[in-house]
Amino acid sequence: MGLNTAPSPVSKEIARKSRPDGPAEPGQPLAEPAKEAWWYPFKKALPVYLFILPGVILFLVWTVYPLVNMFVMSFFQWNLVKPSIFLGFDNYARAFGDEIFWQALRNTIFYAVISVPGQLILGLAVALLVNQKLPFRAFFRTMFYLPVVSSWLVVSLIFMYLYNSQAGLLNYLLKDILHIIPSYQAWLQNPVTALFAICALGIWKGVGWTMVIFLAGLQSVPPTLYESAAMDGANTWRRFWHITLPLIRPTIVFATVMLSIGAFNVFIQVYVMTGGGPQHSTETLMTYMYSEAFKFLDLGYGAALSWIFAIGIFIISILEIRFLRRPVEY
Amino acid sequence: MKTRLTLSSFSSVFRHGRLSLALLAVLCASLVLAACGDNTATTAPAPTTAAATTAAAATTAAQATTAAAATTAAATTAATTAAATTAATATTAAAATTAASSDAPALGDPNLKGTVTFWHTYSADSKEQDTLKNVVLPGFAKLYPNVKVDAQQIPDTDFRQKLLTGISGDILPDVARLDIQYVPEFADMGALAKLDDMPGFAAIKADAYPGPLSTNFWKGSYYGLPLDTNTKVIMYNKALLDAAGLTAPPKNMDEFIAAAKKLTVPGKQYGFVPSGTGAWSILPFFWSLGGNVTDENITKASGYLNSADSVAALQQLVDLKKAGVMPDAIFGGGISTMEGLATGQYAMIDDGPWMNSIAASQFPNFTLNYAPMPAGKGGSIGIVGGEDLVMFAKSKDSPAAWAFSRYMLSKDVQLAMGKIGQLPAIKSVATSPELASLPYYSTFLTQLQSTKARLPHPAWTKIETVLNDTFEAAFRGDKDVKTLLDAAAPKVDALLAGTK
Repeated sequence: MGLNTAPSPVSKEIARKSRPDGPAEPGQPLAEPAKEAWWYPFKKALPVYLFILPGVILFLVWTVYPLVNMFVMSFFQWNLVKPSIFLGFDNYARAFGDEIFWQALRNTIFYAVISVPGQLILGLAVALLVNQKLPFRAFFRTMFYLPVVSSWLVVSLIFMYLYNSQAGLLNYLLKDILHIIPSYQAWLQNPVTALFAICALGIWKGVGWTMVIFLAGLQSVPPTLYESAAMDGANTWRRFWHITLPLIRPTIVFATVMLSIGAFNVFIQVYVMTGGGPQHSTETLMTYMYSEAFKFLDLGYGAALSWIFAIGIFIISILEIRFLRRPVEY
Repeated sequence: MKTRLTLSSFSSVFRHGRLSLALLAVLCASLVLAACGDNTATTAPAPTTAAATTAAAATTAAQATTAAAATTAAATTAATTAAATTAATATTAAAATTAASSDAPALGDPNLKGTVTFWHTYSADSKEQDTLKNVVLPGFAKLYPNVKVDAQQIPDTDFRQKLLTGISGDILPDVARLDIQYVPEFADMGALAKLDDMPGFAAIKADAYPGPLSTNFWKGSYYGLPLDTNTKVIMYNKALLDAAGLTAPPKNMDEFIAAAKKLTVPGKQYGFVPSGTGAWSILPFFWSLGGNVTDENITKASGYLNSADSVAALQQLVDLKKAGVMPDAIFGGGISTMEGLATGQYAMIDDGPWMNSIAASQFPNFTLNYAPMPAGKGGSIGIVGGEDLVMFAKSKDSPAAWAFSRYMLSKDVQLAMGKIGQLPAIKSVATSPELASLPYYSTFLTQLQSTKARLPHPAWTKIETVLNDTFEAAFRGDKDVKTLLDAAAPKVDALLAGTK
C-alpha cells in the first residue's frame, strides 16, 4: 500500500492538538467539521496521486489499452482497411476446433515439461557448486550468467550454426569425433529432433538465471542449522534434503512459476530457428498466435488465441503457487 | 476491516487505498466502450452506447468515412463468385482491347512536380539494384526532372510483413513492386488503387501477356501492372548426363523419371533435387504430371486436389524421394540446389532466370544448361512467378506515382531489366531481338507460353501453408498420399469460401 495509505484525519488531528506550535490560532475551534466532505481524503492524498500519475498513464496507454482493445478485437473478424465483422465467440470456438492450436499447445507443454525441470535441476546444481568457497568463484558465476544477458536472437543464430546439417559443431562432434551417428543429421529440419534442439537452447540459456535465484535462496539459509545438523550426525545428502530443500522452497516456487510463464511464452528461438516447422512440430502457442495475427493477418483470431493463452498461463501460475507454497519454518 | 461499498462510505473506500483500483476500473470500462464504439461504428451505423464520449464518436466517424472511401473501389460481391470469374474475365478483357488506345499521353513532363516513394525487392548487391540506380532512376529524372523518386530496397522475405505493418500504421509507399501472389490479398484489403481508368493503362494492358496481367485482376478491376514475370525450368549438369549416357535432357515425364533414377548413385549423387517440398517447388511437377489444386474457377479443391490424377501425380514424385533420387536436404538444411548442381552432387534441379547471373558469379567454371519442364499427363507446365507494380489507394501524389509506374513499364526500363534476368511481361519487349540473343532466354520464353499461376486469391498465403504441410508430410512418408490430399482438400475449400 505504502503511499496510498495516507494517515487518517483523526490521527492528524491528535498530532496537531498535541503540538504546541501548531498552525491553529488560539480561540479558533480546533476540531474539523464533524462530517467531513467525501472528497476530503482525496484532496489530502492529491500529491501522492500526482506522483503516481505518470506511471499510471504509461501503464494505461501501453498495457491496459492494448489488452482491452485486443479483447474487443477477439470478437471480430478484424480488418485493417475494410470494416470489421462481429463474430461473437466464433474465434474462440474456432481455436478449440483447430488441430494446429492443439498441436501448438502440446508442443508448448512439452517444452515446459522438459525445460522447466531442466533449468531447475541444473540451476540448483550450479548454484550449489558456485556457493562453495571455490577459487575463481566470481568468474564461474559470471560465466554461467553470461547466456542470460545475451540476446535471444544472437544465441538462436549461434545455435543454428551449432545444429547446422552440414558444418554444424554438433554433427562434427557426434559423427566425425565420436562416431555415434552414422551420417550428418538436420537437427532443426527433422520433426523428431527439432523440439529437443530448441529445449536444449532454452535450458542452456536459462540455467544462469535460475542459478542466481537459487544462490540468493541458499544464502538465506542460516548456517547454524547446518552446524547443528552436522553435530547430530547428518551427512551432506541428509542436510541438503532436510534443511536446504525445505528452506529454499519459496525460492523453488518462485523460480518454477517464473520459468513456467517463460516457457509458455517461448517465441524468439522458435521463430528464428524453425519458424514453427517442420510441419508445425515446433509450433508453440506464441508462434502460432504470431503467424495467425501477423502473417495471415487474422488479427481477431490472433487476439482470441492470445487471450486463451493469457488465461491458461494465469491458471497454471495460480495452481503452481497453491500446490507448491507451503511455508516451512524451523 | 470491511467496508460496504455504498455512496456514503465512498470516503472510507478512498482511505483504504482502493481509489487507484476504482479509477482503473472506471478507465477500463470507458476504454472498452470507446473500443466497442470504434467497431460498431465501422460495422454498421448502429447507435453506440450512451457512454461513448463525443470525442470517440468524432474519430470513429472520420475513420468510417475514410474506410468507406477506400473500399468503395472494391465491389463487395461474394468472394467466391468473383474468384470464379477472375482468370476468365482477365484474359477476355485483355483480348478485347488489342488495339492500343491512342489516348495514352507520351512519357515525360517537366512541369509535373512531386515525390514518389517506391518500395521494391530488387536484390541488394546485385545487377538488379545497380540497374535501378544507374539506368532506371536517372532515366526517369531526365523525363520528369521535378519528380523525386525515393526508392527503398526491402528484403523479399520481410516485404509482405512490412506492407501489412504499413497498412496498420498508415505508413505506405506510393508505388511498390509486389510479388504477384500477394496482389489479390492487398487489393481485397482495399489498400491498392484501381488502375482501370488511368491514362495509358489500356495501352499497357493490350501489350501485356494475359497470364501475368491476370495476377493484377481482382473483383472486376485491375490493381497493378505486370512489371516482370518468370518461371522455372529444368537446369542440368551436362557432364553427369553425359557420364550416364544421356545425350539430351528428358523431354517427357517418363523419360524424366527414368533419367532421374539413372542419374542417382545412392548416397553420393542425386538425380533430381527440387528446391524444397513447398508449393513453389512442387506445384510445376504436380501440374505437369496431371495434378490440380482446384477447379478452373478457383472455387473448390475437393474432387480436384484429391482426385485420382492428383494422387497419382504426387505419388510419382514421392516415389522418387523413396527411391533415393532426392536427398533429405529437400526438407531444409544442406547445400543450395545450385551448389549441388555445380559441384556434381545433383544432376538436375529446377530454378528461374535469376539463377543465370548467380551461377555465373558463384561458379564461374560451371556451364548451366537449360531444358523446359518435361511434359506429362498435364502437359509441360511451368509456375508463374514475378512481380507487379502496384499503386496505393492512399498515395498522396498519385499523378507522379502513375507517371513513375508507366515509366517502369516503358520499353527502355523493361529492356534494361530484361537483360539482367527480369523477364518482361510486355509482348513487344519480350520478343525484341536484344533479349532473344541471351543464352537462357529462349527456354524461359518458351516455357512462359505454358504456365499456371498460384491461386490468385486473397487466402493464398493460408492455402499455401496447407499445401506446404501436405506435400512435406507426403515426402516424409508420414501418411499415404491419398489420405493426406483427402484431408487437405476440405481445408482449401473452406479457405476459398472465406469461412476459414
